[in-house]
Amino acid sequence: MKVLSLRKWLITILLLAILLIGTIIFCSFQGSADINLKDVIEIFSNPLSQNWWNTKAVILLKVRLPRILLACLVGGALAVSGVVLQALLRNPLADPYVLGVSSGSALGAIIAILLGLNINIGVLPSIPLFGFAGGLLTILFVYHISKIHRKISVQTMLLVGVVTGAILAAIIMFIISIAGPHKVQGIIFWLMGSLSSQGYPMLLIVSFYVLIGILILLYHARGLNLLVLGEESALQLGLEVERTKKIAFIGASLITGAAVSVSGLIGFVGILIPHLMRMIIGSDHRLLLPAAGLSGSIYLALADTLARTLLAPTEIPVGVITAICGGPFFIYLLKKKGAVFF
Amino acid sequence: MVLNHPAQKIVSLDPSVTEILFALGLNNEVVGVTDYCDYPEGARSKSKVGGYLDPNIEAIALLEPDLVVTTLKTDTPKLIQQLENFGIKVFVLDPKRIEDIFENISSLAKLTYRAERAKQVVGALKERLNEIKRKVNGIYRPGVFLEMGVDPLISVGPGSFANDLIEIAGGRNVFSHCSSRYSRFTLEEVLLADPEVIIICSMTSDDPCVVQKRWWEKWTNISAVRNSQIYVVEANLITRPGPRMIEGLMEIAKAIHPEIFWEPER
Repeated sequence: MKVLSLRKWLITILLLAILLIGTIIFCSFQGSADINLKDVIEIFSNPLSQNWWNTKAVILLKVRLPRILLACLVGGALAVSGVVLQALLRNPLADPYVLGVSSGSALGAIIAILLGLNINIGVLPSIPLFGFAGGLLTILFVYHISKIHRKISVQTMLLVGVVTGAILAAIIMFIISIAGPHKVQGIIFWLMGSLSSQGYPMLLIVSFYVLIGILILLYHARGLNLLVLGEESALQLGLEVERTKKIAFIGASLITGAAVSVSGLIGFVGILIPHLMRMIIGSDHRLLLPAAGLSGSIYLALADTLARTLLAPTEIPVGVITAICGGPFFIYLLKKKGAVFF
Repeated sequence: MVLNHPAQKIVSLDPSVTEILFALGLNNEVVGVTDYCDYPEGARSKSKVGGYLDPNIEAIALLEPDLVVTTLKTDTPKLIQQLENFGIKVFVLDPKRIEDIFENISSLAKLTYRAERAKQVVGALKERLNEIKRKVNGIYRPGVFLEMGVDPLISVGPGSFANDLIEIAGGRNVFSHCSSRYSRFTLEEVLLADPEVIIICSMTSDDPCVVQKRWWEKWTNISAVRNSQIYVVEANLITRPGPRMIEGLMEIAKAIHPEIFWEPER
């Protein structure tokens, strides 16, 4: 592993941050409503006037912006979670969904749909809350099953996670097969993933979980660097291995759960972005984690913009875009550069 | 297809077929229905033969029907073949437009020797349909957004019954130009289309969709919201091509043109 200089870190992060802001601004101008710079200036120049509430302003500030920001949060969360789980499980195939968190969240959300719980608890809609709870329960279950003699075996955890996910997926299939036709539609659309407007209160809650989770993981980036060398070596180098694994696992699961609960299952971001960034900037987690987070945000924001504009007025499931655009590019890079593993 | 004698035991594999059979007074002849056949009340107590996409062949055969009626689905040819092994005749309906319902009622009546009853039923339905058509003839057609699903927003396009119903009821489906029968839409599209009427589909007859109605109230840029033109219609009435679809049409007409179709309480 090459030594990471502060200069390289700063330049990379700064560059990606600028790109992200550029992406957010670019995406804000994309959509069926024709909104240009002049409209924006008009809206902001006189915030107390009637303009503030005209249709263009409402579309820009209350529909597009929260959606783009949600895409950034979800994309960032999935990418960071992917990086962490690949390192933790020392498996290049790991993605945020590998440990069953996604199936748990999906089951929670589906139970809410099935019970017809389209109600608000406080300011929050019930379906994401159920989703988050389902994800959380799954994490705790997988974690406790994998703990043998106060130690976590990552191989056991991977297997427990995959099997738990498969069981939960089977339960979901069962529910789909017996649910009424109207509810099935709701469930299928939820599973396909969507970033349709959830409003600012939801955005705030998700960003709280995601940003806290990412900060905790960033703090343990050095520990992840040691972990990928193997647990024995990490131990010899003075790392509190069990504690680091626990924090990395819970942190990654928390941000995945938060992301899945509001967006459903959006594939590919969590596996494409981590590998892509490893190829480009190397596998030092101190840089890889934030860089993957920023690129994941950029990628999902762009993909969602395509999803809502490509066949407008009809919307395409965003997971279709992330896979169809990202997949071939990923294969091309693999062919050209070969994968970089840790 | 002709039966030598009136069918004595009929299995219905679609909720709309069940509703037609009951409307023809075949309450006793219907021996089996799908899990989803919930109307009329009498259908609920009939033997269940599974879902309407995946009915249970054995359960159907055990009822020893002399006629099975279904609507055309992807697996229908396979189903017909399997049932023919038991010597069971299958009659397939394929309604595409609202007028097809009348034709289907008549052809089912022919098979079951209920032509007289069918004439009355179809006559009454046609009369109501024509009355609605006559009343909206030439008047202003407000833009209508029909909300089939909440999150994501799903609406109807050309080729769906609901799209036809909106047009017949004197409205203009704001998403009639989209490519498929059911599509997802972003909120931005609804804001831009600025519908004058929003019709929310409820999944059950007693659900007033309070949460969803209140959700729309935030978006005061939409004419329908400003003018409180948000209505709830039971989804079964506008998706099942049976005799009740005329009721669904009436509900939609009331929502689009309350000035014409709301009758003062008697």
